[in-house]
Amino acid sequence: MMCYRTGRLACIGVLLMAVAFFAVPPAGTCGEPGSVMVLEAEVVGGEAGPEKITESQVEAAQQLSSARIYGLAGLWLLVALCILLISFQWKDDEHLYTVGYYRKDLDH
Amino acid sequence: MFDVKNEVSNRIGLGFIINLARKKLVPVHRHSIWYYMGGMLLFLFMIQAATGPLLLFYYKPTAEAAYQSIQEIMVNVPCGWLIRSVHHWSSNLMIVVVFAHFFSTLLVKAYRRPREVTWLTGMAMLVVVLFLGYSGYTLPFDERAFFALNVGTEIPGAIPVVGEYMMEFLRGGPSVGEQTLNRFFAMHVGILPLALMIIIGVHVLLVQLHGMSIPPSVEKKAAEKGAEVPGKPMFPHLVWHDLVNCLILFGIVVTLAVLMPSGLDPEIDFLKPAPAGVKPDWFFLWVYQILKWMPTFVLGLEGEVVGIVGVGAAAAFIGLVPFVDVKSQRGKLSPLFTAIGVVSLVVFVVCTIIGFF
Repeated sequence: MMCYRTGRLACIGVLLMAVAFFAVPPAGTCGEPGSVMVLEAEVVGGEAGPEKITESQVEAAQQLSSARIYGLAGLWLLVALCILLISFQWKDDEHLYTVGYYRKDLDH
Repeated sequence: MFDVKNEVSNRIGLGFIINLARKKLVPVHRHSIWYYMGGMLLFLFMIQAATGPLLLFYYKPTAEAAYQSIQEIMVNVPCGWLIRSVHHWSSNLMIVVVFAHFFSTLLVKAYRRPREVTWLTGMAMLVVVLFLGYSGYTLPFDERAFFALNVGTEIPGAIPVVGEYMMEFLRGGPSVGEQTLNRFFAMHVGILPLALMIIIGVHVLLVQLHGMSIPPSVEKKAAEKGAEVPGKPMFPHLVWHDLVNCLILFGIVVTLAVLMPSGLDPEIDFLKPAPAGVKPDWFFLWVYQILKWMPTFVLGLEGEVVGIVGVGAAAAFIGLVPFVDVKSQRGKLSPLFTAIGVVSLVVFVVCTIIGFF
């Protein structure tokens, strides 16, 4: 029993550390541009409208970057951590069901 | 000590729901995997409902501004590309899951008494989800959307008697333009999601009322053995399983959104002729392929009209299957309707694949 609990805690600990590692991308390694771009418009004789977004800008926004891959890795680790925690709870609940705890609960 | 669980439970009746879920048994057999489709569908709809309003903050539904507003979302809005792509991929996966749910229900005969209305609400859901997908596809108002609107609104135009009226109603005039965009926008963000929410509500309520259906083959085997089909409680078994499925599905949606973000075609050029080989979105490719195979004339009637009426009649027949499959309703095996289900699935998959390539 003790060994099982230690194993669980170790799994959670390792996954938490991995998630924490991926939560904040290290500075300088991921060249993701700022999400809000300041558009500069040149005023020529009156009010200028917003600068037209070009196709290349749209394509650039779709490009895969190291920051995005990094974020994906973090997401999947978080998913794995959640599944691990759920599986622990699930096992406990199934055990409670097998020993008849829920039926007792329902009778009252 | 302040017991949060108890305090919340007392106020919203959580205990009652959990007790109900513990009491409710989910049959366990070799087809149990199909029970998870509904939960996945609901989760994908929730993703749509969460990302849709975020896009709505920036989207402008006018012919002049729609395209630029999508560009804005992609380039200038923080995480706009991601939200749009998650919306796009979750809607595509929702259509995949809704088809899987439909075919699995058809093949395991889950439409049998007393689940006829549940089946009909499911059919309505399939139609609404398809139109949600199609209307969303047209909103960027790019070249692809323009041709999709032209081709898509032409199809109901081929229906005898009401076709012309339906086409004009969808277009908001004789040709595709600003009115068409406004109509599809209203359908996509107002009418269809509201209809879908109501249908999902009724569908889920009916599923809870009648419980999970057990396939006739499983029932027969259990009866031969003189035993009941084993069941596991909805809570914890199904609830935790659904949660794990949703987490994996969420990971898949985000991964697809990051690796293959939703694109944007060139801006509409109203003077440009439709390029050769314009195709609808993947979920209508099976109809497109069937219509493509139709000869110009069939028994003196226009091939396209015959094709559309034929596809409509086949869909209506499948919609009414609980009332036609008498053998299943009597608890007997009905190989004819299993064959119809298998043929429908093969036609759908094969025509979609051929239409794609």
